[in-house]
Amino acid sequence: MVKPILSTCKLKKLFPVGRGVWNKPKAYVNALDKVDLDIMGCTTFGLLGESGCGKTTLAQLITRLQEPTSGTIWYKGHDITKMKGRDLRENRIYSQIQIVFQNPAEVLSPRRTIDFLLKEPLKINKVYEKEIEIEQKIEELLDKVNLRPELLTRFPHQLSGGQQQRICIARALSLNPDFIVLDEPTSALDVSVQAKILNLLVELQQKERLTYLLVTHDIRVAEYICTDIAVMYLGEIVEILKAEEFRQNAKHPYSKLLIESANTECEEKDFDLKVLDDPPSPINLPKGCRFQARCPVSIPICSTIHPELKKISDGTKCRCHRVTDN
Amino acid sequence: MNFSRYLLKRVVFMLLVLIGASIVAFILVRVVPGDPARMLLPPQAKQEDVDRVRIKMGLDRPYIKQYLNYLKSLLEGDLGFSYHTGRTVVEEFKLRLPATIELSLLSLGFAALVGVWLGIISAVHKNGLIDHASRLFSIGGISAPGFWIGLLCIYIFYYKLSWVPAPTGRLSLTKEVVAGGSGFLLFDALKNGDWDLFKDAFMHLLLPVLVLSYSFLAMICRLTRAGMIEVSQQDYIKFAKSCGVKTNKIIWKYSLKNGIKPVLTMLGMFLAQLIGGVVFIETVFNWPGIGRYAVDSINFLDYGPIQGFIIFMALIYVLINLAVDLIYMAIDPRIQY
Amino acid sequence: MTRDTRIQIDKSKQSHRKKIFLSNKLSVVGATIVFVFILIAILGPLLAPIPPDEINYHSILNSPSRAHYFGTDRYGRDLFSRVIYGARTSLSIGFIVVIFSTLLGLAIGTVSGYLGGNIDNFIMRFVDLLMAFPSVIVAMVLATIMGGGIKTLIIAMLVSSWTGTARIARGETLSLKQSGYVTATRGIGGKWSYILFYHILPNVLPPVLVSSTLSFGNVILNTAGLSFIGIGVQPPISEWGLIISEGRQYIVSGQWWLVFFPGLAIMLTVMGLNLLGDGLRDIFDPRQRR
Repeated sequence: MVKPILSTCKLKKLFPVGRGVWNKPKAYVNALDKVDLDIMGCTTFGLLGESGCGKTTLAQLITRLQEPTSGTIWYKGHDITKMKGRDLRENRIYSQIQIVFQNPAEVLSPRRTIDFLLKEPLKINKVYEKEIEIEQKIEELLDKVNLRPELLTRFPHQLSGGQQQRICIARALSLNPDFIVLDEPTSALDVSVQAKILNLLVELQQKERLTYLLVTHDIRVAEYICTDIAVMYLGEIVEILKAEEFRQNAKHPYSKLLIESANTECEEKDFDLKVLDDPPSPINLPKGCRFQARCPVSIPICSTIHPELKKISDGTKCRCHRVTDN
Repeated sequence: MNFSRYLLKRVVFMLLVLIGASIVAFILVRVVPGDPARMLLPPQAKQEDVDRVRIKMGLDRPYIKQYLNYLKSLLEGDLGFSYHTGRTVVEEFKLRLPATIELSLLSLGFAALVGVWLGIISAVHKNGLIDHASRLFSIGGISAPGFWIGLLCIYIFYYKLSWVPAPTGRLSLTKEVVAGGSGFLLFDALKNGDWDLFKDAFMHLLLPVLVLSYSFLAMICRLTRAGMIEVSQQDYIKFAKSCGVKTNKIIWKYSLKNGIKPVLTMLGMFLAQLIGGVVFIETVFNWPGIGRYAVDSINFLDYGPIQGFIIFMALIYVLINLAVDLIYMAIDPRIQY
Repeated sequence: MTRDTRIQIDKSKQSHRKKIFLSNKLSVVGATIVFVFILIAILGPLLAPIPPDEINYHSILNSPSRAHYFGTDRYGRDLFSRVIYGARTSLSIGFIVVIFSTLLGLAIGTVSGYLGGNIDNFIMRFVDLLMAFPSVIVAMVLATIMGGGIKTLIIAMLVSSWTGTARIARGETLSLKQSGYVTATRGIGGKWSYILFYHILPNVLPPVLVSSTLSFGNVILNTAGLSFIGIGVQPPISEWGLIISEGRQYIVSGQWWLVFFPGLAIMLTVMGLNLLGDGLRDIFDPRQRR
């Protein structure tokens, strides 16, 4: 069997809220609760869910921008959870796992030129010794993301949103990573630009043999470029399945709700669960199934027992009492 | 955070300020040149006399013990002893405090009233003639040193125009402070029906109060103006306008309460600066208050009153800040500590 | 700050900034005044017609005239020259205090904000504590311990002025720490020292410079004030506050020039710095516009 390039085991992240006496937290937000994932090489793994469900936290844990509370992350057979700043640098983990953020305007420092920003990752990681090599690499990168070299002397705010995001992608590519986390890479962009960026990402994946972890709340984006999709709700994964089966075969009531609202949505905007209340507070998690309060098909057992993520068929897992095999 | 917790936090911080002040005051006397015991005695005193006094004063004990003793005496209300006048610091302060309080309270009141009024007028007539004039006036108040303006005023209003009496302090040299009064001259004179004394005291107060209040007036005016302009762009003011509420009512009933908030936020800082300003104004007008006393004490190297001054100012500062917090809370019900 | 306003601010680049600055006439006036006074301070010896401490008993307490533009004092010294030399004293003291307090405040503020946690808490409580004492009192205490003089003056004003800068720097750092580009730089493996130097410092600097310009004016006022009450610069150095203090007794006998001219110099300098500071603030931070 092929081994996954990246996997997580019981990954958990708690955020403290409120400070009591002696700075002791009053409570915790369960941002991420025992998440197990296996991501195969050269695939695109999609994380789907509404805002606040923990998908961005997961992205930041995998790229080691935040420390997990417990659990392990395995990358190419190495446990990278215990690695601190220096180990990560020495083992070139930072170079191999890269991230593209949601809002390129916030990621590119407004006081630096594009030239500086593109060279920055190469210089920080001391990839090349000679300036000329860096120049060559920059040229190559710009070509990869279809940008003209004239942009180099400009400042980020002089670029369009799409161009800014291309710069961010070029920055991520500059360290020759194998694995790129895409944290809502298109949601801050105009619709017309979104497709171009997605096509670029697909093209780059084929050329560079990249593995993507795509975080998104947009079903169409996920379906468009993903091979697998995991649906998240309140810090845990509720369903995993192949992307092509998603619309037809999704079993979990929450997934169905997402599909339904994506279908009925007539204007271009973030979907929201109009018919229902806000999700329950991640501080005081409900007993039993976390989706139970909003679930249209809940039965008594849902409010008492927390369902496990069960294997339904090959490549399909679901966390629901109402869904059984066959 | 609930209110009692917030109050507790504030009180702890205030105690820290006071302890900090007491440590500074304690260290002050230990690091200055000269032996405190020798200073008490005549210059020709023998060494064994000095040693005896040292032991009597507790100067031979470890510093921690000495500090705790000092703290104990502070808590008993003993601020020390003035070598220069031979009286206790508390007595000296009692003598001078009314002069300073009279001066600073009147200044603050004047600055607040006129400053807020001027700020509102400027905001209402934004970019009009009055606005520009008041801005110029404010810039002058913030940039010019108070003691300089004081001296110029003495030149113009005393020397040239003779509108005010000579800067001889609180009263003309021929007049005397009412014996057994509260020390607040205006009040005492009114109580005794001494119209002459009242007039004299008032004329002596006039310039110092106006000069001391100038820079605060300027700052309050600027802040009020900014606050009022900001508030006037808020939707609830626009709504009130569209409902046909009269302009005057909008200004005084709706805008002012929120527009004045920046002033209140800075009030603590103003008062800290007022303490500094008092020192200069009292020096210029020969005002027999605490500020001038502190300056004199430094020039005479009389450490007792300086120590007392540090403790006293820290105490005043702490109380003022507590008051500002409470006022702020009363005016803005949204603040939940 | 919402995304829209941030973009708006980002768009105000060099040329645009220059436009804002020039359109604000008062800030241009301020900059000019400051520039002129700096020039006077530098060129002092060339501009002063008579050495500032040359005593001349033939011209005691002369009123302003062709021979002595600002008149003379009780030793017959030329007040015009003394005021010019006073600019050197005041501005150099101001520069020293502002430079050191900016550096100190910047270093402590950014590091405190960046590290966060209990260290940050502790440092900020200490800053609050220092801020609780008015600068005049700090100066008085130090003057008692060390005696008056320029050294005391500088230390006293340093003690009470770095705290403001530290607060601003810390606040900015705290918000920058959450910003996308700091996270992104961590993502490409940047060390914290790199992030602090290349991404946080350049963004913290503008607001800090504005506050430094404004506190420059305060330092000059305080220098004059403390010298006036006798615990700052000591005679025979020419210093504005000191000249006023020496001329003070003559105000009730009509020799106004001894007080008027040095005070005017103080007011103009401080006004120039305040106007300049306000102008800079408008450029860098439209939010705080007053």
